[in-house]
Amino acid sequence: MAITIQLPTVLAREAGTASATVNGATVAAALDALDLLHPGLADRIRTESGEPRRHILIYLNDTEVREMEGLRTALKDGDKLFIVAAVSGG
Amino acid sequence: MARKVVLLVGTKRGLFIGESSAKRGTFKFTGPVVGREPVFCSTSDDRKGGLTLYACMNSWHFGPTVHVSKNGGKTWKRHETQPRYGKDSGRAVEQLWRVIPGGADEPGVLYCGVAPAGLFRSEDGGKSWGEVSALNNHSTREKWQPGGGGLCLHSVLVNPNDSRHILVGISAVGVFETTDAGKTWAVANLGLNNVFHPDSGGNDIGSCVHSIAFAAGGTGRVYMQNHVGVFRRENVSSQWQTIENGLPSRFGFPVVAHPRDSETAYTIPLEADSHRAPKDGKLAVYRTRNGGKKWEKLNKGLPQNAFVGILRDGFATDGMEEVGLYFGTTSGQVFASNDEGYSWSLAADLLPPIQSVHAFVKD
Repeated sequence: MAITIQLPTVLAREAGTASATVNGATVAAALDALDLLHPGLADRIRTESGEPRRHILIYLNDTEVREMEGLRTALKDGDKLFIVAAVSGG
Repeated sequence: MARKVVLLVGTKRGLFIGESSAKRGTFKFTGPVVGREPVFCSTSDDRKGGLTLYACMNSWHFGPTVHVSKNGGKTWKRHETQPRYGKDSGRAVEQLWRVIPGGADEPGVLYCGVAPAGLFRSEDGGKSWGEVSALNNHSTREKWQPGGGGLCLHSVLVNPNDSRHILVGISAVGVFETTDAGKTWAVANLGLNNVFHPDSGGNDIGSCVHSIAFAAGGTGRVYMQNHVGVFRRENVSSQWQTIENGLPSRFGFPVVAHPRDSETAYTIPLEADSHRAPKDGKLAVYRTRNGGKKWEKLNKGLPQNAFVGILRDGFATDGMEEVGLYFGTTSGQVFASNDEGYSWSLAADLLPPIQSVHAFVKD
C-alpha cells in the first residue's frame, strides 16, 4: 500500500525532497520505511522509545494520530501523513 | 600558513565562528552555521591529522543531534546514528550537553553527555554511539534528581595522561569517576557540600557540580565550580577541599584551568543562585596562581555595570604561549583576553544568548 509522507521544511531540506512515498501498515511502519529511504530521518520525528517528539504533530489525512492510536494507527492505501512542526506563540 | 585562533560560540540560535590572527587583537565572526537552533556545546578534534569540528544542536522540534564539519565549519552534517538510549530503556535523549574527544591515544573516540543524564561513547568519530552502561545504570541512579537545568550530564573530562581515567559531572547529582575506561564508576563527591544536606561532607549523591577542569600537568588535580562553592581535589579518591579565599561569592558556573600551569585556574563568580549575575554588575574574572589558596580579581576592560550571566561551558582557553581566555554571556557578548586574563576586550556583541565557547589554535 502506498502512503505519502509530507515533510516539514527543515526535514525536506535534509531529505532533499518535500515528500516520500512508502509502504507501511501502520504509522510506525511508514516511518520505518521512511528511514530506509532517508537514514536518520525518522529519528528527527520520533524518540528512541518510539513516541513522536514532543513538538511534532503527525496528521493522518486530517486527524492527528495522538487522537487515534498514535504510531500504531493503521494505514490504508492512499493515506497521507503530514509531519508538522508544532508552532506556538505569544 | 600563519597560525590562527578560532572560537566556536554556541548560542541559543546557532553556532558562530570567530577567527583571529595569533595576536588575537580582533575576531571576525561568521554565522550562524549548522542551523538556527540551540547549540549547547562544540569542540575541535585534530587527533587524526585533519581538523574535525563537532557541535551539539538541540532542536526544539526535531531532537538533539551531533553535527560534524570536516572543512572548518563551512558545511555540517549529522550522522545517521545519534546518541540514543535503548528502545526499551524507558529513557529518551532530550538534549546533548557535551561532546569531547577521548584521549590522544584513541583517535576516533568521542564522549557525549546527555539529558536525561547519561554518557555515550563513539569509537568512529561519531558515526555510531554506544551507551556507557555502567554509568547510565549506576546503582545510585534512583537517587538522581534534576537540577535547574534538568538531569543533565554536562561535564566530561578525560585525563590527558590516562584515557582510561574519566570524570563526569551531573547537575544536582555530583561527580562520577572511572579509572578503567568506563567499566566501573565510583561516586566522587567526598568532601563536597551536599545540596540537600549542606554540612554532610560525605560521599553522597546530591552535590550540584556546575563544572570541572583537570589542572595542567597530569597530576590528577581537578578544579570545580559547584553550586555551593569552589573546590579542588588532588587525585583519585581524595577529598574535595574548599578554595574560596578572595572570591566575592561562592556561586558561578564555569571553571577553566590554565593549559600549562597546574596552579592556575579561572572562574567567574556570580552573586548567588537567586541572582545569577556579577555582584552589583561588576563583571570580573578571578584567577588563582597558587592552586586556590588565593584568588585575584581581573577586570581591566570588563564593563562594571553588566548584569549578565555566564553559563558552565561559556569559558575557554586557547593554549597559546601567552594564554588567551574567552567567555560568552547570556546577553550575547564575547569577551577576550590575549594576556592570560590581565586585560579584556569585547570580541563580539549582539549575538544570541551564549551557551558555550570553545577555542583552538589552527596552524
